[in-house]
Amino acid sequence: MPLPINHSFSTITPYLQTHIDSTSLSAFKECPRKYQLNIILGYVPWEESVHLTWGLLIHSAREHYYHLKSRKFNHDEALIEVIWTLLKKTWYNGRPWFSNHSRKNRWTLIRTAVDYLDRFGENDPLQTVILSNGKPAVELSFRYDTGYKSKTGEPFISCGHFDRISTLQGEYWIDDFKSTQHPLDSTFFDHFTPDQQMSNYATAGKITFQKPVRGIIVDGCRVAVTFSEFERRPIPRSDFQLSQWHSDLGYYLQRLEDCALTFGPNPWPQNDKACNLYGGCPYRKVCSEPSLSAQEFTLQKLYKRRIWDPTIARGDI
Amino acid sequence: MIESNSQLPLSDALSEAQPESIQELLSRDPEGYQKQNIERVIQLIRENRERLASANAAGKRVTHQKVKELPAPTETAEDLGF
Repeated sequence: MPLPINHSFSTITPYLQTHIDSTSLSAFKECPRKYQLNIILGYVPWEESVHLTWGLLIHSAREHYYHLKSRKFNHDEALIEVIWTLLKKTWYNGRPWFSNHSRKNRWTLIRTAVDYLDRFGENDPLQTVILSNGKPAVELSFRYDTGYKSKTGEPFISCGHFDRISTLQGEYWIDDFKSTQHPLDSTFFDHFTPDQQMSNYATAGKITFQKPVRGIIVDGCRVAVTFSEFERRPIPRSDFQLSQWHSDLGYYLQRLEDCALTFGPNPWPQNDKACNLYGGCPYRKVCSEPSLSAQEFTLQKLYKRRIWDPTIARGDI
Repeated sequence: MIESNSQLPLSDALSEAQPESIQELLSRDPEGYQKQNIERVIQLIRENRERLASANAAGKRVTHQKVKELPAPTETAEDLGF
């Protein structure tokens, strides 16, 4: 199967990703075979996850709002624009988006956007940083050298996107939006420590931003059928935790290169203890086939291809 | 009751005077919206939120009621045109 062109991969060692984001590394940590199918070969189920669609739309609404606010729209004017845009984005081929999901649908999306922005839009103690080009620091792409190199001397680069950089009482924070169906209690916020994405953000905040970043704040959003509620909490990271995470990163990057060199285009190892995590791996049907040719057939039949390239920048950097 | 007559435009003054429901609004193509339609959507969502907050403050466990029992403009996804 030919590989799609993807600039996050080595030009020297085939199948080795040298520009890594949290999605890629998390997939590899979870299961090398899942990583191979999802990131290297780019296979995704035909039907996009409703949670992914909903998440992208609510993030886009938040980003849109901050852009409008930076252009001096007042709260109500900005909210009207944001909601109108959301309604248009969720109208396809003469009908509204039908998600077939009780909590993640068009109505909960619109309602959550209004409720969230009414709560944290107008009187937000976190003030969005305005960049030197006059634009708000939202959906900002970052990349930094991890300090690790491949066997051929190529640097491993960590990539990602900050939802927003803001200030609170003179200090800089990275602000991330997370939705859940569960209560916004300590159990929910404890999920972010330890957490690959948050540690990467915290490290990137220290390295890539010109001002010292105090830490990460998560805006938790609980989406229920009849209501949405919100809770904001800091996600702490000590220097020790970040050092440990960075040390572990080196281990996983070495495993990544080992897999690329050892297995290349052949099936990468499965972690069969992860098949049932997170509601079930989307590639179970592939891995449960009795032969490699049957796996190929299933991939062609039930999956489409896209390119996951973390080097593609978002926002204004 | 208005009888159908393809030759004449129909008018129902009573229904035209009623404010639009969220279901009606969300089942329409947003390209054809006026600004007041969006303002109405936002207003209805805010009213819904205030009703839920009032009910919760009064000690009713609204969040655990069946959707059909709520005063909120949500019934089922199908009712909302999703």
